[in-house]
Amino acid sequence: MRPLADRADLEWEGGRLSAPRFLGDEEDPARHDERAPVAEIVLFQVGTHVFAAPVRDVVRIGTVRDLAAEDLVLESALGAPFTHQRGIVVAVPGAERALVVDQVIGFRTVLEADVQPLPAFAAACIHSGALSGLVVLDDMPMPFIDLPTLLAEHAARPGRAGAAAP
Amino acid sequence: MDVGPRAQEAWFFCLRLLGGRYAFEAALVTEVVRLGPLTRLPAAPAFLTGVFTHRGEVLPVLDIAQLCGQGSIPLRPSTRAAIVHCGPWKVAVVSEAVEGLITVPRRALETPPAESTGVAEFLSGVAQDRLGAVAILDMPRLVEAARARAIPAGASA
Repeated sequence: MRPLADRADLEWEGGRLSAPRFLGDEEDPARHDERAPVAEIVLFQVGTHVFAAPVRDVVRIGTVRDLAAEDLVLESALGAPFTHQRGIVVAVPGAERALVVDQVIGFRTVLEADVQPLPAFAAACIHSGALSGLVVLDDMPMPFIDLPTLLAEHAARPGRAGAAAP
Repeated sequence: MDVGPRAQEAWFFCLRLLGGRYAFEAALVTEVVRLGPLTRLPAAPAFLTGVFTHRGEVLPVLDIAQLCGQGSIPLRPSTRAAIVHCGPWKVAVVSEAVEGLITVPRRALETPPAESTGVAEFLSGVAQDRLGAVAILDMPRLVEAARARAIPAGASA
């Protein structure tokens, strides 16, 4: 896993995340075939598990200290984090919600071909739209998460205020 | 019609599961692999223990013990799985140990006990070979039942 270039990667830039940069990118500008479509992903950890998500779905990343408690998603289909310090803020209709995570590991640029659909049997058995596929990094598949759908499904869970009646 | 000795024997692929010997139609198995590092999937049913890559392909892992509510197969670096094709589905079935191909005289195949709980629900027969009793699984029915059980009540497939 390549380290982030600096903490500025996680900072605001005009209300949106700045383009991710990595140590070593400058020395290897031709790391990807420029003709191949690429996707920018953020890697994060919840509990003991690591997930990936498209950077385009992320509004900002940072401490959850300044966020209202009702805007925090502490436990989701991804599990529960050990710590409640960092959050990935995602726009949902009419609001912003922060998925609380243990760690934002970094950003990566991957070829779109590295983002694969779920195997047919897994897709037939999993009925959450939040798991949109798998990113294969270093021969290891990693769940690719649709963050807005994850938070929408969390908000719609029975028992939550505003959840639709079954 | 082949009425020679070969037609008098049925070929099965045998795994050790739940402390017993379970076999299924040998033609369904394409290979046996050692499980690589497993990635667990969020919102997956318990019997779908994760996915792993094998020769660049991502394969789902099915735990029959979990499906039948009879515990789970312990996953270790030495754990092996049989890659099984059942219609549109390709899954890696984990086991406690892989025995491999066995032959059973067709006349030795008997109907399974009339139980409908646990793994007995998916048996198509029982038999004896030189190593002892073996239960014959209807693997396509088992895999399809797993898929069907994963559908939440009230949801359409």
